[in-house]
Amino acid sequence: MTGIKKFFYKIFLLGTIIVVSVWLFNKVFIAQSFSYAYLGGMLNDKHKIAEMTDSPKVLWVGGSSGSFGINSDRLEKFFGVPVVNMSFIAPLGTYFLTNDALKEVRKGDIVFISTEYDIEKYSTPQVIYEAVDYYPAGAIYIQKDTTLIDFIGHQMKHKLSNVKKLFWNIFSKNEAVNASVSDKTSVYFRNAFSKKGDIVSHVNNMPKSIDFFLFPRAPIDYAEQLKDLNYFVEEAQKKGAKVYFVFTPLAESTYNYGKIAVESVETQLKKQLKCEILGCAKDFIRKDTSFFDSFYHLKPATRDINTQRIIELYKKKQKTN
Amino acid sequence: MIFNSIEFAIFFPIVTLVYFLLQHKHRWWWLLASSCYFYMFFKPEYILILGFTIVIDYFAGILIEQSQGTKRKWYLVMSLIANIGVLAIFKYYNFFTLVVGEAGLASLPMLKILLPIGLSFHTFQAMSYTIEVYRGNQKAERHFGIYSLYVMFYPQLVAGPIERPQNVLHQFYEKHTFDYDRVTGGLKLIAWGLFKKVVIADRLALFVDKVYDHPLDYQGIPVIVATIFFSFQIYCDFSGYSDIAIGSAQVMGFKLMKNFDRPYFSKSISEFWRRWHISLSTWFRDYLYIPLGGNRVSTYRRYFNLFFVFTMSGLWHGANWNYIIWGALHGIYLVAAIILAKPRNFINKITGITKFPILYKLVQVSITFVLVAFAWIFFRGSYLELGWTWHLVTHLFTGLPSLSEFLHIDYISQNVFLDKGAKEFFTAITLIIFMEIIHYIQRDKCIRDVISSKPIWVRWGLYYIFVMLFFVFGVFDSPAQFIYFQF
Repeated sequence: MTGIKKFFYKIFLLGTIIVVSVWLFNKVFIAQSFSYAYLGGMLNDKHKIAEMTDSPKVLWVGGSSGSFGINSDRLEKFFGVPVVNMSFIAPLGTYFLTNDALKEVRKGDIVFISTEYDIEKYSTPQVIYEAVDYYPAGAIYIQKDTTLIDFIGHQMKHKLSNVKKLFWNIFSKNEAVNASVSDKTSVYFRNAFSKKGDIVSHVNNMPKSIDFFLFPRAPIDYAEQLKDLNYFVEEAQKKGAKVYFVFTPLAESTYNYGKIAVESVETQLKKQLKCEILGCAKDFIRKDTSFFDSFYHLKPATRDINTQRIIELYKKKQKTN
Repeated sequence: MIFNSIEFAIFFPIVTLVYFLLQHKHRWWWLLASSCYFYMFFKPEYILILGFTIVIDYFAGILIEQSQGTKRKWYLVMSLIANIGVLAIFKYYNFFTLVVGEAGLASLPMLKILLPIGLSFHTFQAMSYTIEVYRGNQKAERHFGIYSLYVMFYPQLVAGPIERPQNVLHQFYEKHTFDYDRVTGGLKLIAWGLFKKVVIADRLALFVDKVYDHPLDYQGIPVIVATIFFSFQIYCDFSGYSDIAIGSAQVMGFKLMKNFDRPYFSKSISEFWRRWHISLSTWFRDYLYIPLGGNRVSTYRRYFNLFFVFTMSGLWHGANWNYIIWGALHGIYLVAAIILAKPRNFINKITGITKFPILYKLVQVSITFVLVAFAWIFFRGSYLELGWTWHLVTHLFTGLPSLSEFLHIDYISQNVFLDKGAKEFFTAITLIIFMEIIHYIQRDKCIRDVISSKPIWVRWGLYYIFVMLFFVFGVFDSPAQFIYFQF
């Protein structure tokens, strides 16, 4: 076998150089982007806010509809205790959102949990791998790959996507680097949040066009998501917190389009969720014009109306109890 | 299993390594078993169809060789009927039913079956075997395993090159040792094929799909941009596949035929067909065009032969009016080229363009490209209703902007960049230019040989840059199927 040793030696050497390069480029990219990355920054910063806030407090848990949908100052005024908006993003999945937020629940806290109708149990690989780059503690929420090939595939895709981003950053600076709350274009960057965790970067911005029909039409099986929600409720109650579920805001057109899907989730929640629910899905359906860049993301002005609605429903619930 | 998947990245080294570790007498079954696994990865039960034609053609070959006179012909006919029959059932029956139904002639039931992957490729390869045995150019293969391997050899099983028995069968008997230069040469070819597929074709697909997935929403410039991009997408997709197939075989010591030879440098449609999907065009030439009389017939019969063969070539690609029109259009191009030869020469003479060879060549290459690209509209439209494809064709020059409109950034962004952004658009253009420069360099010498002659630090530097370019510009969202798999 002519040259077989030489061949394997060279393949090994070239392979090692490439693997080391990719690893190194990933490290450089993560270090470079840590200061402005939306997802990773948000996870770290919101945990810090929660850790630094004394209990009893109000803790808002869920997807991005919460970041856009509640006015924490208004809630703080009503409840008389500090508020931490721990809403992340729905693509992380209920398993991540609930278990990660559980770390910040303390005795005496009032916890509102609000998950989107079309949320999945587990995150998509590209989202969670990105999150874990900046927030390594989140690695435990990655869904185990069914095969070794899937695992290799997800790892490779993610590492290569970071190499791509690093390359393009050389030619065009990432918009998030210089983004600020006062500018009129940027929305998603690390410093997009108030000190309580509400997103405020869109206050000066023009609303974006929204596809109101990117929503399921068929009934949704929420069983797996409900398991996570109930686990969260039970654990939070064990810690001495009071938990309420709140429906997410939803655009009128989306509701009409996916009414069957919304009602299926509502029915399952009402039957099986082990905590109190404030109002019903219809209470949170708003005109299409109330939304900023998604049928879940309220504009700054409508956020106040939504918060007021939550307070009213909470008061009503207290009265009936 | 597709070549641009992680599964193949694991399959290929294992199969190759074991192949070299095994004694020569055991290699055939290892390759056959690996090829079966490779094919069964798509839909396992379809291997039975392949098995059926293999058995028929294996015995047909022996019987043809052992018989005399009309008996020989009958055995050949039997084999051809079996092969074409499988194609007719799995590929053409539903189309035929639809056509007959629409014409109001009969109402036949539709079959709920999927088209076995690469059916047209391995059927044609099998047919070339019995035809060559019948013609006496090939001895009938007595080793059933080796014959099965001829049809099933995994590198070319699902998308060619469509091989001839004279080229391949004897190679399964030859002992291939590990040869460093041959192995690395094969790997470089695989790398280049992957680059064309993952970096260029899949990137261009982002633009092409945007228009062709919503054909009624577009007219004019976006259709032209998407069609030009598709011309390069399909080339990179299919020639990329062929490179990986030829490279994989080369690593193990097999030499498969060349399938592409820089087709977009062609100066005429007939030259284009000598450079595009060579294994198929020579198949049609050898087994259909020449038996029909080829060029040695009357002028009108020759026109018919060309038109018929290219229409059949369209039908080979798929049971669909779009493919048929695509093939027929190429037939018309070729007939027109013959008819218009004299007026063309007259124009060349009065304009004097032939005195400027580079300009003349540029004009010829450009006209050929435009004609080929126009025909691709029907090919790409095969996923669409014929009416929708027709909309694209008839609206190719509708709504063209004035110069001031065209130069407006919003117009360019929507209609030229197709909302993908300037970065994506110019990356795609740069990659096409990069590939064509490589092709241009390759006209005289193989670029792999040029690189091999450089000092190690230059070679390794180039390899490193190539891999990094692959990582940075590759589209890895999900491994996209090769377009020609569906045939």
